[in-house]
Amino acid sequence: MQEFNIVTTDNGVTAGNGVVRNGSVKRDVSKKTITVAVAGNPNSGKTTVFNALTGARQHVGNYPGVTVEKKEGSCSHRGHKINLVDLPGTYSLTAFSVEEVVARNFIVDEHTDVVVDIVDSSNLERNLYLATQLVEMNVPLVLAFNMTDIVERRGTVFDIEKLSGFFNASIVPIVGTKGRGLGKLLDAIVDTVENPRVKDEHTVHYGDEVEEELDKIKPLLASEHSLGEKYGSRWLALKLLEQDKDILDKGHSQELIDAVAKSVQHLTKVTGDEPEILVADRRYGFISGACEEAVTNSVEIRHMRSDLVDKVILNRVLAIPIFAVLMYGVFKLTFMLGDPLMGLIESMFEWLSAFITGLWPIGAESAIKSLIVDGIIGGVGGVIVFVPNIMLLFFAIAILEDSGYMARAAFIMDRVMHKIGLHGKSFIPMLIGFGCSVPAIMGTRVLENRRSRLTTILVIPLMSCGARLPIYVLLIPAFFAAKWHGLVMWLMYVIGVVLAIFCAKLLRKTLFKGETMPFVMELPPYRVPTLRGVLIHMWGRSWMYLKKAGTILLGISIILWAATSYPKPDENTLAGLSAEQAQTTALRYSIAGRVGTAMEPAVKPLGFDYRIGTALIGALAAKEVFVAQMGIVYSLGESNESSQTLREKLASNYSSLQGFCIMLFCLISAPCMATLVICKRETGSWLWALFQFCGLTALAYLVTLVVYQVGSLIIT
Amino acid sequence: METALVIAIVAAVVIWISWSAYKVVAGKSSGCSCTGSCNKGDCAELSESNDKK
Repeated sequence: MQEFNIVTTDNGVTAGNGVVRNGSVKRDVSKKTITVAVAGNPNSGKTTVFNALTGARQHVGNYPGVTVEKKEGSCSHRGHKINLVDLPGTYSLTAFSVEEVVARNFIVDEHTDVVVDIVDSSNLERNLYLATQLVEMNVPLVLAFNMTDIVERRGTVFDIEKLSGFFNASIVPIVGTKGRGLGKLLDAIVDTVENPRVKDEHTVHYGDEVEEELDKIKPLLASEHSLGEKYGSRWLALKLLEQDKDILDKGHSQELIDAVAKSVQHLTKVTGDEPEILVADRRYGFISGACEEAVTNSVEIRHMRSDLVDKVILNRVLAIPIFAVLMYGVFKLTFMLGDPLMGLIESMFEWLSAFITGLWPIGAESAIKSLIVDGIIGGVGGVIVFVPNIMLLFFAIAILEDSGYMARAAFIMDRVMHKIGLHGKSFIPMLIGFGCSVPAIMGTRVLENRRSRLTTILVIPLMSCGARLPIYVLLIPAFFAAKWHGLVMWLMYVIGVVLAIFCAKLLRKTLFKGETMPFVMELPPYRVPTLRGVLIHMWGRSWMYLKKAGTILLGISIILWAATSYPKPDENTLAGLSAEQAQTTALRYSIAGRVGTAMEPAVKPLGFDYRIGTALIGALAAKEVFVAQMGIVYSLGESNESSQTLREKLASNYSSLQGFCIMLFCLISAPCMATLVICKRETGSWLWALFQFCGLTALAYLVTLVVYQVGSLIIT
Repeated sequence: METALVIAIVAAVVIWISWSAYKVVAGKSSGCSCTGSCNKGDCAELSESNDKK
């Protein structure tokens, strides 16, 4: 049974009564007033604890100058009147949001006697980030480990004494919703005031490089007595190194500003990261280390194992090479295991073509036969034969996703994204873009900043979507030896990512200047993927591919077949020509051939002929149409005896350089129609969709032109 | 007869593709050429839930 008084502060005079769970109520007999700031992450149960301690009646207002809600209430304990202020829920105490500045300024400016940080102990590591920043501020701190009932059920055990030592703060396990441990929490608050802990500025060590720079800045703060006294010189120096806008704006001497700029420059140069990132890394390192020492149970052990794996996977030097090697392995496997299966499906379609052709007398001309054999089997069949390769790729990606590695991929890219003025959150839609640009562009809604969002939307089509896969799978084996298959495919993906990064950097430097907000990226523990889960994910994606082949691609193949077959030249025109010449003449005479011929001068410098030109136009509807169109073009007019596959026909008509340039152009050029429409919907303007269309096409033309022309010079 | 049948098939397909394209442009369909990376398979669902936000 816990007893204390509740005093509301509605008008600063009236003492009201309230009840905390099973506690009885007494008149206020406080001897000393203690001001307590209640901090915590959003959803940590902060308000529940605050309400439980102060009763149902609180005073609600706004912090001076800002419309952030300020809740105050009070209670009494062991003869002390305890005034509690519920700070806004924040994940950290940087100066990126109003809530964070309000929380931080309140703790510093209002002479808080004790800060109580409500920690969601079921999500300990993330919640301790705020606690670490409070430790840095060297304020008298009590950590209330909330939701310990959930933790107990999981079988987690905290070594409270050890953690208390690490964080130089009292730690009290509580269950806010049941009122459990609240008495002990109040005891800890009073004890912290009556018997303050010895302050220790060096709880978190930021690494030798940062510590050296802190030591250089600290003496220069001596001239700024008032600030130093208020914030503490180490904390102030740290915030200046982190380029904290709120602290930087406090009017410092030129000498100090120059010294800070020099230190920031030095650290960035030496470590390759901005001090803000270095310090955040160290904070996470401190938390991770503390938890490793003082938290144990089956779940945490899994996290610990994950942490061990992450030490290698997320290593500063190894992370990107590991990511690259893994993706290379996936692509290599796609070709190695997929090609024999692909051969089987190809044989099946060849048999089907021969069977349907056999229904008509030998040499007979039939529009229906041509529609089925050249249009449908040549077009749709050309796309369906790649299903084994695509299923294998989706299988491998499903394993990477289900195991938790893909979340790390976003984390790995976070560092790179920061350098281009975006944050890791932008890489998540980009990863989705490897599947399809449409959901990826919709996924950018998680980005709060409009400039970041527009930048991400505009570069997403550069990520190699699933629709480009059949193009790669068709062309790579046609033009490159088996040992290079995986590497060329990997190269296509890397070119896409590198160009996306380059374009994003360019956009952030020109059209979309402005700051980005950092965020905490969570890493789920690694898991062994289940075969069932992986198969379900693989099948879901493969089914969508088949569905598309059976609907939209079927329709477009029929239209393209008609455009490639009609109008037909009269017999006099074809008289005396060889079979090959007659086929070329008929093609050039058709609608598609005429369009291709008209645009041939424009695409010739890229190494493309009129056939590729027409296929590229068709690819605007959906990228796979390129493969369907090439299938139609090369099966029309083909002699029945020809047993060459599409790959063999392409290899005999184009060089490896041309093959590579086709893939490059398909990768970079204007996205499909659905992507442009979704771009308009998400940006609210056709102008952005037009900008995306023209910009990417121009970039594709430029890059392909340079590669083809330079490549031609080198090869000849 | 055969040519008439082919013309009818192509005309029907042109109408169907045009109608599908119109639906995408008018925002009545997501037009998602999704291969499932969103783990939902069909983007209409994703689009709808995002619109509600």
